[in-house]
Amino acid sequence: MVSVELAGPPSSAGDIDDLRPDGGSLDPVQKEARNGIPDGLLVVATGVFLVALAYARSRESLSFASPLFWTGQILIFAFVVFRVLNPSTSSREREFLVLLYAGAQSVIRWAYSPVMFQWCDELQHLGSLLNVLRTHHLFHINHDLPISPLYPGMENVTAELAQVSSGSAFVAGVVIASASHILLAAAVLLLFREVFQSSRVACIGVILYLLSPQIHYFDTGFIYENVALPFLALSIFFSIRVATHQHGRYQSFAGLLACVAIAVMTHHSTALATVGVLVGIALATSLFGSTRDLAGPLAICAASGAFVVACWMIFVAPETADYLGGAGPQILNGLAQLGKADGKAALPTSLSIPLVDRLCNPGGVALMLVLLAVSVRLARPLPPLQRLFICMAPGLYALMIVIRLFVGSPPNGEHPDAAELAIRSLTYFSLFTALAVAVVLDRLVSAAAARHGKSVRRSSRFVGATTIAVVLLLHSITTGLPQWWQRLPGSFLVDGYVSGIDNVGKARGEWAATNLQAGARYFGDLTSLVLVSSLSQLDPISGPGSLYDTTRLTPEDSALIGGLLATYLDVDTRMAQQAPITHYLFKADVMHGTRDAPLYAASLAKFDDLPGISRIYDSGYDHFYDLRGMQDIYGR
Amino acid sequence: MDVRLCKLDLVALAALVCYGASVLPFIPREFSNVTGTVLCFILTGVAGASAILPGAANGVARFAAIVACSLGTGVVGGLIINFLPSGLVRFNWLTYAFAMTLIAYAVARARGAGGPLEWKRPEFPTLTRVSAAKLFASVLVVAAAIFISLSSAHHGETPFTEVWFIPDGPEHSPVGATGAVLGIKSHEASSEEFVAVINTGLQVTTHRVTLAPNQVWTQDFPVGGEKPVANVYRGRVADPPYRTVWFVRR
Repeated sequence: MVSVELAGPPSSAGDIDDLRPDGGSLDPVQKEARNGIPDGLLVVATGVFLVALAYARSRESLSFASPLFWTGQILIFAFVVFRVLNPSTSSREREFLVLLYAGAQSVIRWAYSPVMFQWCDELQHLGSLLNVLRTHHLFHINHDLPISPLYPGMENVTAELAQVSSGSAFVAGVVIASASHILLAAAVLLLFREVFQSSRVACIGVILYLLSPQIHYFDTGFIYENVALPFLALSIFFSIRVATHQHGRYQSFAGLLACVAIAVMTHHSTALATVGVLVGIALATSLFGSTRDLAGPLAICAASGAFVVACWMIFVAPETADYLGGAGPQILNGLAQLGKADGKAALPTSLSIPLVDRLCNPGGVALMLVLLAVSVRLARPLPPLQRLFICMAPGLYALMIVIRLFVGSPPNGEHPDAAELAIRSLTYFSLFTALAVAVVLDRLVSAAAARHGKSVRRSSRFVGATTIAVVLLLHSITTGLPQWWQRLPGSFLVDGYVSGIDNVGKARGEWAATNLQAGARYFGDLTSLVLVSSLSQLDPISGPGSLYDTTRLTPEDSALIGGLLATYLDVDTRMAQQAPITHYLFKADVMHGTRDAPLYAASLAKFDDLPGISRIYDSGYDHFYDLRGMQDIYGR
Repeated sequence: MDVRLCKLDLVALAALVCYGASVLPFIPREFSNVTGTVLCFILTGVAGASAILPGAANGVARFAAIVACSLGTGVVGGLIINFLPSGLVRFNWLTYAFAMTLIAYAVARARGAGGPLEWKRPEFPTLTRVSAAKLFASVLVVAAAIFISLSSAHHGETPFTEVWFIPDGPEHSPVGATGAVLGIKSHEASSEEFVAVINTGLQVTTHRVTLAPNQVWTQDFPVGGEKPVANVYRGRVADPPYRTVWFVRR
């Protein structure tokens, strides 16, 4: 059984942070603890309310939605950061505020789509969950995300909640996702506190980690990475305890193995990242004389973790190699096209990009580079392990920038592209960069606290540190999901990712689940592929060729239908009314992201006149055709 | 032998009560849902955390241990009970969680976790009136946020009606079908009257249906001929039809 002995709860304000780096203690006035938890709850609740109000007004196309959104986000974050930075804040309050902020992120995430999953990734996992609830067994095929059933951790625990509470799959998914996100904050807090032995630096680091573009929004959802990430952080935590504590070493090692096992049962990339981070730390410690004694135990931890991960991937999920195998050639292809960056962040749309996005996106990167450079300078007098974590940060951030700039996008528009890979890598790299920036902010505030005689200068440093953090928040929001054109929920946008999911599409998927045979193959647009295949068990075909683009059925398209044994054809007639904001209508689009106009109505209307075709479903917006009676395709 | 009760014993006792309340058939489902959730997601986590952290621990560490044990038990549990023929069903989850809670309790007890059980009034944190007012206001504000999120969720949704005409048979193939199901599901804003005119290839029939929002109407028909067609009109029969569906038999 795993056993960890951790410090008991602090008895008074400040505790381990009462000592400044120079060894002096803080002023008694600063040590005075003020219970700010009710204040924090009220401010954070108000911020959440403002953001929820912004979402509601945006859905109803009312004014002031955007100012309300930004006000709510900044209010929550600025208050939490200010209180966490303040030396007079007790450790307990600081840690509570960090967890409260993670909870606020989850509530905001839910408020975006409060009655159904709308994100493509969430819908894909919903498909796996529905399969478990329907069949009562694991490893059932998921046509749209075939790798998902082989990593059933999240679906297991969500199915457990849905079945024992008789709740809906959506509610169970939201609860599990929220619990995992708050657990992530707690796990990273334990890790940072273990490394830095300071509650304040650890709490600032966690707040900054929660700003990682992917973590801030995407990874708070019903996505397997969300459930796996806390166990990555706990794995590193246990590894460091194995390396640094003689007492309880075997218990920590058992904890490491358990966490790696849970991570690999849940998400492939996170499991590999866990091993990667452990290997990286072990290698880095071996390079410096002051940390070389830690390298051996860390290497054993990394090797043991790799063994657990390999066992799962070889014996349970051997398809993982094929699934992730495309990333290597893609990176090589990207390097061959040096500098051709055309990822999501550079998404060409007909709308003008808001000023805040234009400024904060590159501005945040520049600020991070400056902060990381300062952190390396500040790391010199720190203990070896702390110095190591900080010194790894600039290199990892530079690697992220290299990925963003030099890895190209697949020519057919399929994901992942450079921007996505870069942002995903930040999910793991931020464990180091957040801690490095936290050291800078902590030093800024500590220096201010030391000069308590000059209150003006002290308060300006506090404000400065808070302002830096708020700029990083703006950078996080403008860099991560949702993209700026759907930051606030609004009207339907054809094939506009989350904006393309509406009640019309959901009804179509639920109808298909009830009325069509599982496993039948069908053509559909981007939204249809995710929504219909997730809610029903139809098998989507990602490349429809020019099937939707011509005013008459070409022999090539006939051959495509017959060759792929397609049974159904899904036609959302709104494709002839709106141009896709993403410039893609299909997952593998023959137009390669150059669609600037809606499809011709005649191109979609042609299906009604094809000999032998059956229109078996009509919702006014969507038509479902059965292709099996078509002549010259199925030999009739 | 002197056996003293400790706080952790309450966890085992609560697990027993929750398990009984969750699986006994005469307990109201609403109540057994709550007890089942408490067993699987709270007691399992608390017992597991007590086994891992038998001594004093920081609040964050204990919180992380409880949530991690709760989630981790579910993650692993799915794989274990997947081996049972009945698979992932409510009873298996409850039994598994009960067993895990008892095992974790036994380990924690053996490791000396949990302080002695003392019968005294629980100590609640003292709150000033201002703090209590702030807490109450926070709850109200969050409730308001939840309310406006839910109430606005369906705003701007498109009213529409689904109509389908599905051939019978195992694969629902239209080729050679001898029967079909016509279905209508209304997603309109209010009750609507629909007129369905069905040419089955054997005869033409008309059906008048009034559907409330989210109400479904289905009807089976024998079909013949080359192309059975169903036209659905809203209110009265007037071209063009509101919805048209068909299939080709040959």
